[in-house]
Amino acid sequence: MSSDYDAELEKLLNKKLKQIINESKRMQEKHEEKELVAHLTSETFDDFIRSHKIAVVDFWAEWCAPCIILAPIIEELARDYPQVGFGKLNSDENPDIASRYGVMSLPTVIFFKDGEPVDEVLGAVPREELEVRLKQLIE
Amino acid sequence: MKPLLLGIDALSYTSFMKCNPRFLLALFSSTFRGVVLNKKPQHPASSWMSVLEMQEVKGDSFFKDVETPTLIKETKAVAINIPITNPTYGEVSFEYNDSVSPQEEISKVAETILEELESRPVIASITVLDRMLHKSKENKCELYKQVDDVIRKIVNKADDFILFSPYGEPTSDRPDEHEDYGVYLSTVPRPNEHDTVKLHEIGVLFRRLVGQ
Repeated sequence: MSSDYDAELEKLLNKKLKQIINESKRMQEKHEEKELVAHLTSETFDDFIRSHKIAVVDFWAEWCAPCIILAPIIEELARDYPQVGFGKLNSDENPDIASRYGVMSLPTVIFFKDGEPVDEVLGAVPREELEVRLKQLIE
Repeated sequence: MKPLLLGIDALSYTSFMKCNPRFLLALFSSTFRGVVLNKKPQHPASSWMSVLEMQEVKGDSFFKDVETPTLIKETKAVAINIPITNPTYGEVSFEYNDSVSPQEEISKVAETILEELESRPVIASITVLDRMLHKSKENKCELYKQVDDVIRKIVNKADDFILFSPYGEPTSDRPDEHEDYGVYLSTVPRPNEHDTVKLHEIGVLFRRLVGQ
């Protein structure tokens, strides 16, 4: 019986297809994770805080260990409060913005309403401490 | 007691809030601390070799037939369970995969460190977080608890130590994909206050610590 069907080839193609789907899923997840907390710069900062009724910006630096501790808390909040704009700004790379808001220690989280700073929290604090301030602003 | 260089592969500040490792948090508040920066690709072997050779080493697989690394030669330290080869390099040696139970690795490495620390400098690695978290993060906080407990036991016996992770937690099932930021907790300050700690600098700091 003649047939074009090749079981081995089909197995290989299926394997390749699965690999492509998994890779694409992974890229999508990474992309979504990146977008959850916007990486701000001096160029994008002003537009960001003006374009969100409420925005929360995490001022951080790579060498700052408490900043790394705090990062997943900010990501969690960003996931749970999609109506709020969450961003992070590297203070070393954007010192003009950090000095505009008097950021002297890291991490500093500043809460903005209608583009104006209304509250801030210093240090790596538990989620609850940030959330209670966020809820006050939303209500 | 002689100085200790202890690597906990894949230990990450990003899990400190979630898993609340009590002793590590106490160290965080009471010792010199920093952030280890190591950008992708971060294979255990090349990352560790960068520490041991005190210069950047690249690679994406375990080494075969390694000569005694420079830092070990110069400090006359004993190597314990270092993942530059597979099985790991040194007095204690395990397969670098999930076949070895956390308890088995942790207790054997801790026992050997405590024995050796009285007579010579020690360079050791606990690999359990990296080996297990590449597969699943389900039991992460339980693993952190076990690691935290053993660090308490070991560090309380050491006068001078550098505790670090060469990279953060795995970000995929690939062995060379992790968070870029590792942990640095030590009795010696990081080289630059407003900068991250580089892998080769950790080796240099340890050599200086032994030479004191």
